[in-house]
Amino acid sequence: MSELKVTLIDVGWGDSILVESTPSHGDKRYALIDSNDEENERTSFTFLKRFFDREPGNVVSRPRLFDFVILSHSHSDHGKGLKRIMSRYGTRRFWYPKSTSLGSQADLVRYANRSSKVEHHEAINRGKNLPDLGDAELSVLWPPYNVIDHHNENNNSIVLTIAVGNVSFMLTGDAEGPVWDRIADRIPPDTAFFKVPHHGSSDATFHQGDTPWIDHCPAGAHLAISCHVKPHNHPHGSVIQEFADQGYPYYRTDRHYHVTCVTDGTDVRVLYYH
Amino acid sequence: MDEVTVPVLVDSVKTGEDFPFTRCVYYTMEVQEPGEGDVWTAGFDSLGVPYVLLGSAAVLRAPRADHDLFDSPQLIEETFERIEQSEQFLVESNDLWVPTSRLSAAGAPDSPARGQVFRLGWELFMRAYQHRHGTIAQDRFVELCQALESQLRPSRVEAEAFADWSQRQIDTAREQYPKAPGLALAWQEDDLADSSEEGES
Repeated sequence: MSELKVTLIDVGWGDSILVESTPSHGDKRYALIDSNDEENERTSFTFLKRFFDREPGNVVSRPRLFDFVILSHSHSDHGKGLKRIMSRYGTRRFWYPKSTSLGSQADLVRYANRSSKVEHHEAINRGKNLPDLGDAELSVLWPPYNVIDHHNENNNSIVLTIAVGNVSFMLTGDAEGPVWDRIADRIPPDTAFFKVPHHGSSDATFHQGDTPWIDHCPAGAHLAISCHVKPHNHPHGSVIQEFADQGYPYYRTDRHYHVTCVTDGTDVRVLYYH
Repeated sequence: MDEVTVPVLVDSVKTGEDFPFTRCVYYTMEVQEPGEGDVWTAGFDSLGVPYVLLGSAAVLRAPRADHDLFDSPQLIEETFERIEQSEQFLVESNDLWVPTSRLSAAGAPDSPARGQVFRLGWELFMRAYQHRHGTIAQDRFVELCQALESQLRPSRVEAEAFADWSQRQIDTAREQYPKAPGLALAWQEDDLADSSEEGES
């Protein structure tokens, strides 16, 4: 039986998402989206180390443990620590969005250029055909191949769907309202888990008086927030109120700590640790 | 090098009333695990104590002891490459926040903007680090930033060097693409046609 498991790691603030896919036949596969480690507080790295140490089958002996690692966009609260994680565990693919201002995250591209721990790397966008992760099918909803936002890196975020059977998960980076205006109607109707974009900021949920992604997110979908309470006060109270008003179940890493959603392609469970 | 300063790159600018601070990134040199034969010596007064690095992080403030600024893309590349030639060393990035108004006052009319580089004097850097890690309150940090405003100055030559260096990483990636031909992604024809109708946002 297939299983897809997505965990929003509680990294204090910022994003770090572990994806596990157990196919009906073959080995379990792993992927990672973002990390937000600091020099003296390596939250993602520590979580992953403990996790992999407990996984059966000595998976850490694989030369490149991750099928893919993604930098959702070029902001430091999504990229810090990815180099160390790739250096320790290795990845077959490293994906990131195009940007005209990679900033400090250019060092990740430098590392990918030179290191054998990263077998291949490239910028991804809608239109590129992503390989399956176990039995899970991947699809990029954003960005299109010729669109780069020169002013707001959040809007270069990779927005991804991962689907098993009749269940889709949405992973959204920090994409804000203008992005959702353009892609909200592409949200799969079987979406059961939706990572709230940009840590629950009002700019990512409200746009010109509307709530574009909420308007297309199926009723009852589980919403999960990688919070950024300090210092940005994300999630915003108005966003939480909107979720409550619309009756969505929601989970937040500042209160529930690590948030995990599991599906076998039919049923969906959410687990949390506090 | 008499004055100790640290280069920070503007990562994300916030101007809202809730938190009008700009996130800036600095580079660190981090040790993951002990390397073969890597014995160092720490000086405590006149006493030298030998040790082996198990794990450590150090802020990068200059490319070389005899060169104060990261003022060319070649120098940045050489520095990072030299550090990472030792397998247990990695260059990493970390961040802190500086009041946006202070960066505006210190910089050009368009300051702060992503990619700009500022030099922070050591005391200001330490205060920003303490604020980032919650050991001094925000109000106190804002006061200190005002008192230490002379320790904040733009570094245009380093901004240009880091921008060029960043572009070189992309150029190198393009030149060597596909790094592993079997893993390069194929295109979906219909989505490509759909995407081509969209302009830049």
